[in-house]
Amino acid sequence: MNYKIEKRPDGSNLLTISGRLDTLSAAELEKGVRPLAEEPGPGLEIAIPELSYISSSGLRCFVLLFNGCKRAGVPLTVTGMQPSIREIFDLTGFSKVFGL
Amino acid sequence: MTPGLYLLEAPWRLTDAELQKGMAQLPGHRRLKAQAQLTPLGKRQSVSAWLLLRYALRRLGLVDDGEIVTGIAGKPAFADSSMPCFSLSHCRHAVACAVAATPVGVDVEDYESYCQEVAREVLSDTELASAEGNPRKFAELWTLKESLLKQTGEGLTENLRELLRHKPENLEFLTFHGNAPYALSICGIGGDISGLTPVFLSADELID
Repeated sequence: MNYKIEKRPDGSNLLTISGRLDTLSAAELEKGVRPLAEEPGPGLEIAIPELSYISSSGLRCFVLLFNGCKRAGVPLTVTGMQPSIREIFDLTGFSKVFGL
Repeated sequence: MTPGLYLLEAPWRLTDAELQKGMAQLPGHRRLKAQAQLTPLGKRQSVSAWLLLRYALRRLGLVDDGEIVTGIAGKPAFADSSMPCFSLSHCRHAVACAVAATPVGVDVEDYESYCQEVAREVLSDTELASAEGNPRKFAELWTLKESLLKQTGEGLTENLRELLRHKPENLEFLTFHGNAPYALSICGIGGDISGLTPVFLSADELID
């Protein structure tokens, strides 16, 4: 799993996650994105076109960021999802949570 | 083999000196991972998790220098099958390590992770009745589900809502609430984890 956080000119953040977000790598991602959950800026986009696998621990990272944006009252969008990842989001109800 | 469940609460309390000392005591592959963490808390959680595993192994007369492999859902395990099974988890308030002779899953979750929208999607109607608006109960139920998924190591293959209802007969759970606002659940083969109680450790006990 790799991830990258970029600040856009308008101050919003772009988080790009790629590879396999499994139990082990989710723990790593969670540590890395916690500051983003605490200060998401005026908005957050999570781009996952190259995310190939997600575990329940990975979904926990999304909950962390969702809660952070909700607390801050800023929009969160998830973009570029592969069909296999969309299936997991549908299966777990996360599609509804993220308005997909 | 005697199973064990070990915890370090408030990993953020590790001082910089303790962090550096602990880091230096990790196996090389683990030290690189810990050093790569971007945040101070992340480094502390990473170091603490491995020191807890080392502590657990030492209690069994074993050392932690074996090769680690990962399963399909990323569940880590020792490549040497004679070594015990283990599971690690962390949240803001605690880091946990469980070891057992058979596959085991442990999960810790802060009460503050409560999210109403998620609760409505991942909990069954019965679970939701007790957990909606109740971060403590939500954390408990989330860790139960997550510990089950970590025990099986299979990843998400079914709806989270009914996950606990479909739990294999041979598995059992134990749940605890910590001294800080977090819940912990452990899932393992019935009999193997019965009566297990968490052992709370300090940084002094983990770092040589």
